[in-house]
Amino acid sequence: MPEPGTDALWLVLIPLITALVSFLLPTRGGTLAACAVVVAAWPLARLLHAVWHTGTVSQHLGGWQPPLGIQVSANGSDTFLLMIVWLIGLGVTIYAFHYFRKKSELFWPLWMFLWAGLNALIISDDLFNLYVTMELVGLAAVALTALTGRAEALRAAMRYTIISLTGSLLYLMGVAMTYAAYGSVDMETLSTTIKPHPAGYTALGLMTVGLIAKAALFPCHVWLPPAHANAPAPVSALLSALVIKGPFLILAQLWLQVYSKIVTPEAFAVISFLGGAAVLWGATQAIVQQRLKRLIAYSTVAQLGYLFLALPLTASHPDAWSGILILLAAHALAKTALFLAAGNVLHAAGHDTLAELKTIMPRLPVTAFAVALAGVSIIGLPPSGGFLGKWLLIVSALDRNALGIALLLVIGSLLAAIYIFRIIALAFSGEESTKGVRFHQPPRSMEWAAFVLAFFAVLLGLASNAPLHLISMGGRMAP
Amino acid sequence: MISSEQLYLIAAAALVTIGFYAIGRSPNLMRKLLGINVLGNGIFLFLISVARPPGKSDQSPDPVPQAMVLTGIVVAVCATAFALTLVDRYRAATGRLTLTETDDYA
Amino acid sequence: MNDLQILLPLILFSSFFTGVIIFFLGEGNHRSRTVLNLLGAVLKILLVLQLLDGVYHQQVYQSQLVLAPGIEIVLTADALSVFFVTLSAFLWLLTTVYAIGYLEQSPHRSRFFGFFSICVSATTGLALAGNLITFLLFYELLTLSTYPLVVHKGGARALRAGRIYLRYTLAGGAVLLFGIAWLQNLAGPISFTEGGALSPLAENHRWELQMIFVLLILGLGVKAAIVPLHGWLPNAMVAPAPVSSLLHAVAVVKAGAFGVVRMVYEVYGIDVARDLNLLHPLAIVASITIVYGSIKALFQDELKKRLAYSTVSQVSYIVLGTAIFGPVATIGGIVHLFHQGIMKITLFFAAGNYAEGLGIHRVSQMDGVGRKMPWTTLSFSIGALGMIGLPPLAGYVSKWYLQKGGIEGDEAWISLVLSMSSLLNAAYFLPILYRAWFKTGTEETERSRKRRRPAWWMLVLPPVTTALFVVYAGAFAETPYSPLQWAKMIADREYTP
Repeated sequence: MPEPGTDALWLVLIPLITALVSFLLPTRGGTLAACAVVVAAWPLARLLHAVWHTGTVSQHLGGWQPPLGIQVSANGSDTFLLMIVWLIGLGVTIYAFHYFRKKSELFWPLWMFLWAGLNALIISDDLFNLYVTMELVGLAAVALTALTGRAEALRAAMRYTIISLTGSLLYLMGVAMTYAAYGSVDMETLSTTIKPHPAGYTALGLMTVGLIAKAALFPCHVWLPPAHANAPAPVSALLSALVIKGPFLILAQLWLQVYSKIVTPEAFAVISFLGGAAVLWGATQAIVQQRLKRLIAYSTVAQLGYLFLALPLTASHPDAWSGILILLAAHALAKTALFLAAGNVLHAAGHDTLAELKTIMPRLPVTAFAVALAGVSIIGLPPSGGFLGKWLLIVSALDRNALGIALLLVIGSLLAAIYIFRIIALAFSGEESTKGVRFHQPPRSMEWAAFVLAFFAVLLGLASNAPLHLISMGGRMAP
Repeated sequence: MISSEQLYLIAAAALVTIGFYAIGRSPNLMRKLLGINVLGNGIFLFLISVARPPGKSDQSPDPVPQAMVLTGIVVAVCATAFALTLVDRYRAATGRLTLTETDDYA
Repeated sequence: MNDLQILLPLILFSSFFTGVIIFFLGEGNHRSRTVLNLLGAVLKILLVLQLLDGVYHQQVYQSQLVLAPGIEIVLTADALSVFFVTLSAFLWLLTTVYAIGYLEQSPHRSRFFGFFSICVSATTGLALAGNLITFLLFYELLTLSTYPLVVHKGGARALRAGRIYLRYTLAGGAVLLFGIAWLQNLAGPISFTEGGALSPLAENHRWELQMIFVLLILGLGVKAAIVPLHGWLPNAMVAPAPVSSLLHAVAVVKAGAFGVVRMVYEVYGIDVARDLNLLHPLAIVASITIVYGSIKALFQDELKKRLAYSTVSQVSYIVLGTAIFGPVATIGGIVHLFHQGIMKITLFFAAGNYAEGLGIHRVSQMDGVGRKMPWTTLSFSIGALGMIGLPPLAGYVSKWYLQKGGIEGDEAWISLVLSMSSLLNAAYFLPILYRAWFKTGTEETERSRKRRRPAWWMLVLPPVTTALFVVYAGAFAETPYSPLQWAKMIADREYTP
């Protein structure tokens, strides 16, 4: 009977192996990926079972203990994230199968690498391992961004590469300094041994800057909209929903767990301020966009801002961390749905210029509904996951008299409503003349993949007991 | 007198600075990539010097930073290979080796 | 005992599931859609009747679902919620019949009826909400489900009305959310309690409770069309008549007013509200709305817009009744929730008939319609006279109680407001009646009369039914089965300690 810890490792190995095999068998990429997703459900289920009953599951690779060996572990929050990644992976795989239709064979190995990297990132327990996994995710992401091979995509990918690599190196420098000052990179050990020290401050500062750049937090967000908008729809979904969350999770772990003893309230205030600026900036930019995918990309900038905005609340409120994770998950599901829906629109119309979609959207009811449901979560209207996350955060904010945070959460919702309803209103335009307007009905599975993911975003708000319970288990972050 | 450990640290700092400067100030993509490499090397140098901290030169060197550097080198090689390919494709598609501010979307 | 617990969710889902199924029905599937619609409506009424019976006999119903710490979805059936639910259920059936007839040739009927059903579910959930957070959930759901109905016709004007609608309702929802979050932070999760739940906090948190009250009223006032938050309502008239009838008689506007009633009586408690000096400002705001709405109605030539402003004015009677301390005024306000609903829906049904049957949208075109559409115009007349407050119709009963309550509560000035409103109502309704009955129509409208449809009874029966009920509610108000008696029961339970 293998240890429960190895289940977490299988979640990394299965996609890795699949990626390698799909390099060897390029034409079978889609099928292999689908198999991988299905096969991975088994260790995921076992892991869930183990974590649900025992709180945390960990494994030392090769039996070597830290600091020499590498430890991986999964607590409740990690397991929750792994499940969300899997769910989105399932939806995107099904969608991409029909979207690419035997073309863009490189998508599959790259997606598998990305998935492996994400899973590894989630379960990593030491700072250096996080660097490696972050690089894996970053390289796969950049390659996916460049997938179409067109000039704009390459340009966006180029910019993304530079920023990603530089950001990672900043992070690595921080890790090096941490090791130099405290003698370990294990996060568990560090959280107890770190004391205020110039080296500690510098290290944290370097890592933070690097991660902020990679997470596209205002004002380092400029690379994101072109990258996400110029990629193929399934790629945009993965980038906005999952890739961008990696650096955020690392930063959260650094601030809330590893370096929690030396982070000052002022620092929290600064990052919270940047988050708020991101919310306002991203939303206002989204409102004025003329094209659908760019609009959704700017929405990502705004939604990510919420996560940073609410960080200060986690110090005093365990609910706030749950709120952040729920918001993160709901956004991931909803944003994937939105991008997949955008892909459907592109497939049908050949373009994504909003003003000319009045005749297209009414003919895509399932897609329109997917947009509506996803939009409800993005705006944060009940009864969605987005609402649940925001509610938990607003209540925590008011409890701490952080009026600014609470207000920004509400204002952000209203701004999001403006750009979301811009899209939804298209479906009610009443214009359906089909003369001379190109329309190719997207395959059913593409429409339904978007719909089901959007449905899950809403469901997260209703069937929230289990997820919330899971998040609080074995808490490393939950105080 | 500067000890040998301090020399390494100064060298590392110099490399890091040069790297940053190149990334930030060079419009040319190849120079940026070189800058990234130099920056990486500086960090590796720093890590190596951590393996034998000053005052403990009689002990065996710490293997952990060495392992990190080795891994880091592998990652850097992969990243550089990828980035070079991307630059090559980019140049083929646009005929340029610099990133322009405008024209982000077609 | 177990079947008690599922009654409330059943009532809620009877319309929700029919709505979802209808979405999947193709456009051409008339028969299944009609059957489903009517089945859902009838089922709901049967369940509601059972509920009525139970609550009358002091039976307690409650269902709950915990979503998260601090977020508990609670459905309860107390006297007030059952009052509102019954109104919704009956009017839903009538409006469904009307809509089936009205939209006979229109596109997107599956979409319409799907959202229609969900809208009614949202209203039901709102009525049955047992705590603030459940109320908020259904309040926002109502906004979402009514938007597609407002923009149903498509085209620039409808979409613009939809945008304005969203601007108001979403902003209102955000303010309400903020208020509720703040209140919950102060006092923990608030369940609706007869007599109010905030008296322990009243001394220590005066200004906070006052601020929260302002926020709550602002949030609710958007839907309740309190001046100056009423701007969305006249614009929403671009929607088809069944939507206007439902929105203005039952769903959105009433939801706002209902919310105000809940806040004052069952969250704050009437004593606490008076103690915090919240009632006077509320009464003043309501009075301004009453007068303003009526004045604006005078200047509207478009029939539906005139009725819209009339709604703005009339719904604030409910708010006014709530803001005057004393059981009599309370009775007046609460019973008007019911009465205004049935009167206004009659008027809107009639307006829809004029538009669809004769192409008439303006008051100036209404000469002689009494002869062309006698039954419709008779119903319209009854509704209008009820609005004016003519005995023995329903409106008279509400106004009588409001007047008396005002005098008893030392707020005699509201008699002035009520009289002015009646005069203004007469001023903008009587000329219509005069035109309809005593003037002869032009040739143009004679010709367009040919647009008679086979299912015209579906368009005439609903207004006649509601008009009859207006008469019943007024003439038989003192009998045991009138809305007035139920309102008295509610007021009784709010005031007795």
